[in-house]
Amino acid sequence: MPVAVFEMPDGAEQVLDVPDDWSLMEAARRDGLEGIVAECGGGAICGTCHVQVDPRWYASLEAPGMMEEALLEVVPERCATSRLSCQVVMTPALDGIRVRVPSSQLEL
Amino acid sequence: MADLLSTHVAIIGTGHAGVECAWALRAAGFEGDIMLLGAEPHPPYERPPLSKGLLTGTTSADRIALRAGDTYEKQGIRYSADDPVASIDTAARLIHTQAGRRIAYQHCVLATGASARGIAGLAGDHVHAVRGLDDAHRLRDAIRPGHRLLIVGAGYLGLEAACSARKLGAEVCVLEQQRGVMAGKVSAPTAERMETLHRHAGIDIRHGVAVTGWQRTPDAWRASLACGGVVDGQQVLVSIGAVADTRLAEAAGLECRDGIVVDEQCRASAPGIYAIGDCASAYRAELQRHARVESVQNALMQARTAAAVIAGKRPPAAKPLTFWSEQHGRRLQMAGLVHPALPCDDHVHATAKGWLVERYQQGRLAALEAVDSPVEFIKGVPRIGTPPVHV
Ligand SMILES: Cc1cc2nc3c(=O)[nH]c(=O)nc-3n(C[C@H](O)[C@H](O)[C@H](O)COP(=O)(O)OP(=O)(O)OC[C@H]3O[C@@H](n4cnc5c(N)ncnc54)[C@H](O)[C@@H]3O)c2cc1C
Ligand code: FES
Repeated sequence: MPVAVFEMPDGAEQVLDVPDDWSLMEAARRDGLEGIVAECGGGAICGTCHVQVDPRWYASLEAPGMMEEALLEVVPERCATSRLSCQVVMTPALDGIRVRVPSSQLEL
Repeated sequence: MADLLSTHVAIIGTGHAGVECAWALRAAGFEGDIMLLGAEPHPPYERPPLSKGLLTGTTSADRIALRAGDTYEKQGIRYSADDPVASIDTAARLIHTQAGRRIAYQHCVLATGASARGIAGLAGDHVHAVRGLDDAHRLRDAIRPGHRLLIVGAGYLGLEAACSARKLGAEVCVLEQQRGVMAGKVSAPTAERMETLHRHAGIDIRHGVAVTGWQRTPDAWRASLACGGVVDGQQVLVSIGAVADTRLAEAAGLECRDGIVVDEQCRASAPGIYAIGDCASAYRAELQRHARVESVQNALMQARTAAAVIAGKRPPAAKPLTFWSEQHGRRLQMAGLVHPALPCDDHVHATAKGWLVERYQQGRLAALEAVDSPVEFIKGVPRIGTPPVHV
């Protein structure tokens, strides 16, 4: 099964199995990963599943939709490779993708 | 004599609130024993998709699980399913389960949720509610293209189910006794606009109608209306709200009034007992009284609050309540609480994709509603409680 590597604010790394077609958020939630609150369950409206994608992986992702783009403007610790993890869907090409969980998300 | 188990924290109920509380305890550094005691046979799952994606088939039971099976063990959380708690002895700090287990605890968190309210005389094969996974599967299997689904109650849940059933090709008729949809929950402008969407989708919404009786005909349920008419439906969905599951708490002598009464730290009326989520009626400073709230965000917040109190940490700062719903692909978000007895001054603003309603009471922003405007919503939530901005 493809995996995604989540880097936590303290530097620890968590390697999660992500079935094809599942979003990174769904995998993180199933593992109870701290910081991926996902309050809206993947509706792309709450912004509580924000991750910073490793720049080497960012270009492999499909571009964010308009709603996601707009939401990313208001999430804390936004960076150039920020994404909502509920909108990043696993494909074989993304096996091994690396993302960081922003520290502010642990305080939500 | 059944085994006597013991734990530092026993959490009763494995919905959003119970599961989050267990995880929040670990996140807060709590190292004691945690037991999560569930009544349902299914592993813990989230309920919002039950009336949305799970009904239409865009998601499935395994995808709405709250945690993977092996994560409980990894976190050192003892999870048990399918064995409801039968009673709590708050003086002896002892739980009895239906299967006969006895569990001694130091802290007990009640997260028993709520159950769908029913209608007397309306029961059987073709009558549905949507509260649990089995309910949703059963309703999905009963929905047929061309058949009519009668939905009683035009609240969020009824309207979401109406959209889902319509997508599956059913004829849908929604009966609501109040004037307007989502009455008392959203502003009149939002209610009217959402109702228009439902009508355009071919959903027959009748509000201001009282059902005076139900009758079983050979192939349908027939509702008699106070105005004299009748409506038939092969299937009926009753969505007239939920009742807090307080039976355990009441039998244990805890103070209950439409929910288990708790303070702002989720403490119930006996030492060592907390209540969180849909079953809890917490003190709400903004209303100056206790109120029960059914929303995922409230369940998560109260779970973290109780966990922090138990772990001896500072509880998270209070935040406005939020809630969301999805109808016909439009996303509705709400924040704050409107005092039902006070007049509301609603200001509607158009946004790029939808609209935003600021709801003022006594000169303060009491609540916000946003449709397809998550950015305006997120920016607006911190303003709740403040006076209007004059532009
Ligand atoms: C169809 C539907 C759609 C919804 N949509 C939304 C939405 O879009 N947005 C939103 O914010 N909220 C929504 N909600 C509300 C949200 O799901 C609830 O607020 C949330 O589930 C509350 O979680 P809880 O853990 O308090 O209660 P529940 O999820 O009800 O969990 C309580 C659990 O306790 C168990 N239990 C009860 N008694 C016992 C006992 N004696 N022993 C052991 N276990 C027991 C029950 O079996 C149940 O599993 C929706 C609810 C439903 C039903
Ligand atoms: S889970 Fe809410 S935006 Fe991703």
